[in-house]
Amino acid sequence: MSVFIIRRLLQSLMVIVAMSLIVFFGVNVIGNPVDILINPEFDQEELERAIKALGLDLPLWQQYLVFVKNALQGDFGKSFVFGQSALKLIIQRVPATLELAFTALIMSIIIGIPLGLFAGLKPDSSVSKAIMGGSILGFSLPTFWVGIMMIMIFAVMLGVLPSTGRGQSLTIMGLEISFLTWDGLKHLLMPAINLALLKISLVIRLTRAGTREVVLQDYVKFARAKGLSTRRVILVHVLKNILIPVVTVIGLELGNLIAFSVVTETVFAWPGMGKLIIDSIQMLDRPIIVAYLMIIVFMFVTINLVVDILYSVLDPRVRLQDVKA
Amino acid sequence: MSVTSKIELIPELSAEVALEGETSLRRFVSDFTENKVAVGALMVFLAIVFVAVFASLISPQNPYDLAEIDILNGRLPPRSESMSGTTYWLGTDDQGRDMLSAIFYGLRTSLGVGAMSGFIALCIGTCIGLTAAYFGGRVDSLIMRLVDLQLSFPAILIALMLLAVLGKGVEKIIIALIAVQWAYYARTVRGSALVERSKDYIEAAHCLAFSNRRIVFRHLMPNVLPPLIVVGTVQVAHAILLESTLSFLGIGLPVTEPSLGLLIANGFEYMLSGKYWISFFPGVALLITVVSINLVGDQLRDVLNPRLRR
Amino acid sequence: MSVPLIELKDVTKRFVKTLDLAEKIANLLGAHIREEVVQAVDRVNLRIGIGEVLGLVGESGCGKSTIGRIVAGTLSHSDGTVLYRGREVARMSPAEGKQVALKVQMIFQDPLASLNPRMRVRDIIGEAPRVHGLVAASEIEDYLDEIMLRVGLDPSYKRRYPHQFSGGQRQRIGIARALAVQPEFIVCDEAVAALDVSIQAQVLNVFMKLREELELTYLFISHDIGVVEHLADRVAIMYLGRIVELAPTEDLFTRPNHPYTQALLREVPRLDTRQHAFEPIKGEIPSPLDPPSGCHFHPRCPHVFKPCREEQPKLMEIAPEWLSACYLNNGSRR
Repeated sequence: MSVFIIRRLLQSLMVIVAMSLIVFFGVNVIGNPVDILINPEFDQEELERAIKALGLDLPLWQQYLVFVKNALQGDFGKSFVFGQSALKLIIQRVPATLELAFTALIMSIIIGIPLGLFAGLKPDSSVSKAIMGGSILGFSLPTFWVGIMMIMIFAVMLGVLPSTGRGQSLTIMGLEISFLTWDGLKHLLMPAINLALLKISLVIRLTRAGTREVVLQDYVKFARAKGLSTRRVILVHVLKNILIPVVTVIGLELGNLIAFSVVTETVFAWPGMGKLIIDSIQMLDRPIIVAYLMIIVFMFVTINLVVDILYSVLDPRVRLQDVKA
Repeated sequence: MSVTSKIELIPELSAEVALEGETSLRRFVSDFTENKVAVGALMVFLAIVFVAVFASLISPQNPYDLAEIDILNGRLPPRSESMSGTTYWLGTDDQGRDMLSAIFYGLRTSLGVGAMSGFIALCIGTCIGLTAAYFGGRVDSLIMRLVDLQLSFPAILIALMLLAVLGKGVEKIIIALIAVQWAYYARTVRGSALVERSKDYIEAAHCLAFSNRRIVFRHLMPNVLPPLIVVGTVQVAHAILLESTLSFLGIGLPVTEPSLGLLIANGFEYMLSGKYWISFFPGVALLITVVSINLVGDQLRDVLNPRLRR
Repeated sequence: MSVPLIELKDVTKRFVKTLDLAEKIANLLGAHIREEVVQAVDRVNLRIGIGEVLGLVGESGCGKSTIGRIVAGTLSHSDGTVLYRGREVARMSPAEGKQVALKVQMIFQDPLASLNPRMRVRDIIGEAPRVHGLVAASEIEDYLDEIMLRVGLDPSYKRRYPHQFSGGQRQRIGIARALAVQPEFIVCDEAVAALDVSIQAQVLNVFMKLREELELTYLFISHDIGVVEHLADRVAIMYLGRIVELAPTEDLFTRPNHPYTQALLREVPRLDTRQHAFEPIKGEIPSPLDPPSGCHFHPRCPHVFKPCREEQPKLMEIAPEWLSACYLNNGSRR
């Protein structure tokens, strides 16, 4: 167990170091750091001062150490566009993205599991086939296009939902939250469904596959033979056994949702960090790009680590496999 | 003991066995055609490839020849006629381009970028995966660390990172798509190569003193390619989708190479005034392309993986 | 004895699973994780003369296949030396090493897995002679026909794939592939174990016929002591990485010396067994990760006494050409 956690910790650390190297060299070797990190509107004197201040006259490895040292202190430089600390700008946008991602996550579970369960229990019914066909569609639909179509139908043609923005939000414990107001909820609905679409398909497929496997197991046959009601068999025996893999995958998908919110946020003009990064790339606001990449790497590594460890606690076979390999 | 008794030939037996083996290709075809939806999807996909390849011959107009388009024909709804009398079946965009022609050209760009990046990624991933599996040890664990590292991040994020550093351009998005895909191929190839490598025919090849290169490329590789077909079809669909997404976000292809994603993005701003067709039809084309590839890929996987067959 | 074709001197093979960084850190924090070492082959000495057939017998996991692979050159050994015609293989130039590698060929247990499923028979057999330039390109077809006829295959099947043949025929293809590079020595690793009994005899006959026609030397590895009886000139018995007895076949089968050999022979079903109680060797083969002290066989040996547990018995000559490693031979107790 401890070896497992140590190994995962080491791996996570290595990932962060590797990614910091990639980002650093991406900026310093592929691009010109003077262009990337220093505001192009500076004059010659300011430019030289900035080069000194950023340590760009030092050898590369020293620059990297400076970069790491600053990054550890949360200093990624100032945004060219907003003139504020890049890290601060991103962190301000995090709650909006997380709200969107979690809503989508919950939606995918609430919608996906019952549909997958149904498709798994009655694989030959036409409803199941429709569900599975829909899930293939869900994998193939371009998220951004679905978003546009949703705006067209619900905002432009029917006029029932607002097309863009976040709407009215409440501040609770320093966090801005929009799902507690009616207006905020209306704004949240479309982006969340849009983001959840792919995950709903995934959950349906996972649940269906798990159900079909579990139903054939002896203990389920036995439970039926004992005369337990179908409902009880499904709720207790089937659901319990498919939940672990489904929940793990969903946990890992949280990171994916955060990454894909880039698309949804752009379509619906949702003021999260994904919208910020796209705007920054287009406006060449490099400090924000660098900070975003490092933060997202850190988030991913943390999510993966937590899910891995939780999973190994839930399912001891994972640890054993790891020892064997 | 009759140690030196003569060895007889057994022709009847082998002829019988031969019949069973000779039909494996035919069986593959019949298994595949069992699913009518997949056959339909394959037809659709072939039609799309045809349209993409011959876009310049079958399009009603060349949408990027400024002599052929007229801004006065801009934003016409579907089935309206131009001043010169041609019918725009899918309407026109803000520049007065025939959407049907723009979609044909867009398909060419989207499929081209998807197929090219997929092919190069397949070659790179196969070589890397084979190297990892064949040499094992440190080489293997180093490569697999890298693969795991990359696969723990969503594709869109990797592409975003690269494009943020590289900038826009056809070759840049191809590089980004290759970087996103190679790891899937490498992992698939390594997995099946590890299984194959432990088989005796590889050891026999060692015994026959063949060079490592010969063993890897002549003996190992042909046996690890089949699972790649499945990964390949799915990956091309992913690549096309990812490219259109990135182009939509404005960080993919430049406006001079309009793929379907860019067409959709162009129409987005006219959406709110109800001019749906500029975004709608390119999206439908993209959807049909991706769905048909996915359906073909699904059926291929079912046919090639006997475990999933009933 | 003249210079043997193949000689192993104190050949040892260890498989080591080293600790990774995480396990080392865990050890620093107080865990006790050890490196895993498997001594698959433990100081084995063997001489195989020209034209001889040596049988190598032992239970699965005893290291006999590892020896086969070391001899065939597909696996490197950790210690000791392998000599080919009196010269050390490891010190040869790459070109010479390749020549020797071709002279030593191998036949495998699973005939199907040992043939590349995506190559036609003509390429499976013909690739090596063509690549190594043993046969001129214009003569390759005749050469293939000759080899296929020699092992009892119809040359008209040249263009077929391995899965289109029966098990016995596949093994003949494997033999033909080995013969195509004109070897002197053939390692047969359980070469008939996967075949039906009736086919086994046919394939064994092929081996014997080739031995006479081409003056081949064999190392015949088998878990079934009965298979080697009619084939081998001498038999070596292996237990957990060590050779415990080595004797001319007839002597070994009539008067087995080592208790393990005796136990193995008791398990062979025989036509003349009259109401003989079948008696398996007691206990299971111990884990090679943690072999017993002294004589590895002592936990299962019916005659075990004190020195067996303490020190490994040496392989000693108990009669001309007859070696055995057992303390029972050291005098009084018998």
